[in-house]
Amino acid sequence: MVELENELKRMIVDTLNLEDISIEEIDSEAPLFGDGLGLDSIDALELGVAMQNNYGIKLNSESEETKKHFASVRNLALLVQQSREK
Amino acid sequence: MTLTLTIDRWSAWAPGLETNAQWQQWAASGNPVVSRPKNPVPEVPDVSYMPAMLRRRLSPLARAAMHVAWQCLDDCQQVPLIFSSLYGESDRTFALTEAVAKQEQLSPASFSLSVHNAIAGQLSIARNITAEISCLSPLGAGVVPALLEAMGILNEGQWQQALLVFYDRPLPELYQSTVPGPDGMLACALLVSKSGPANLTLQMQANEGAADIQEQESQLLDLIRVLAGGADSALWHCSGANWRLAS
Repeated sequence: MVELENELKRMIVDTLNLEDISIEEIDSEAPLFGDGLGLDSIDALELGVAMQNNYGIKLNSESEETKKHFASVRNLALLVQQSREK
Repeated sequence: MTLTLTIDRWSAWAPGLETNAQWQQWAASGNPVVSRPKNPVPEVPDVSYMPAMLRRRLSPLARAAMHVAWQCLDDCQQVPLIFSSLYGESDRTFALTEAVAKQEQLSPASFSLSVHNAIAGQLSIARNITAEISCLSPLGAGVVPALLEAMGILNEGQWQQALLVFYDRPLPELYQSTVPGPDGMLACALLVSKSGPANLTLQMQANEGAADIQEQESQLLDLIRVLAGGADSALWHCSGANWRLAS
């Protein structure tokens, strides 16, 4: 799980050009958007594409479920894990 | 018809030419063009004064445009922005078109940053500028449309100053055999003022002959040469008229 979380953090840093942030600085439980990492709606779309390209997971941008999955790195990791178990 | 312009501040950037003193040296040398490598775009100005979360979205061209704008704005709060670029973020547009051709997923961030007003929008976010923004692509008319736009906005009376930003970069390699495009990366910003002693005039004369197509780049270098004191005037032929810029 820690490995998967770090992989997701690397994806976030690389995809969103977070040049000043190292993966160690990202708290797995902290919110990605708004107060936490401070990402915005364009970042959400960009991460949606990255999730599809890297993990084959397609997220509906309108759904409440998506908000939950995108809340933190931990939630994204759980989503990837669930999709692998299916 | 003669129009007068008051330039409060100007700033220009090309690889190796950053300060007004460096530009003055270039203008005095009489060199016709600035030597700038076309591929790849080698260096970008340092914009570390911008918040990291905004800076990460800036391409080399956006950094050049942002840098000259920032130098001119200094502590200015609200000014209308006039951005003029022939091709804008041509490399982003090209990469997106390529992704469409390969049926790949498009990057939403890259798409939103490829539009012609993207860099102006980034500046307005970074500086909390809520004044009006105009973004032009002047085709063969060079720097003149943006200068006229700025004078028009100032003459409307609401604003005392306006910021002009000219910027372009070489086209992606694939286009270069059909459309030469700019020779190198070049950005220049002018803070123009409604009042104060005029330091430039722009005169329009009828031109019966065919208009020459001049890219913004060559006129912009003429304009910088006049601003930097290396020439008293420049003459441009475009949009069916002759335009004479003089200091």
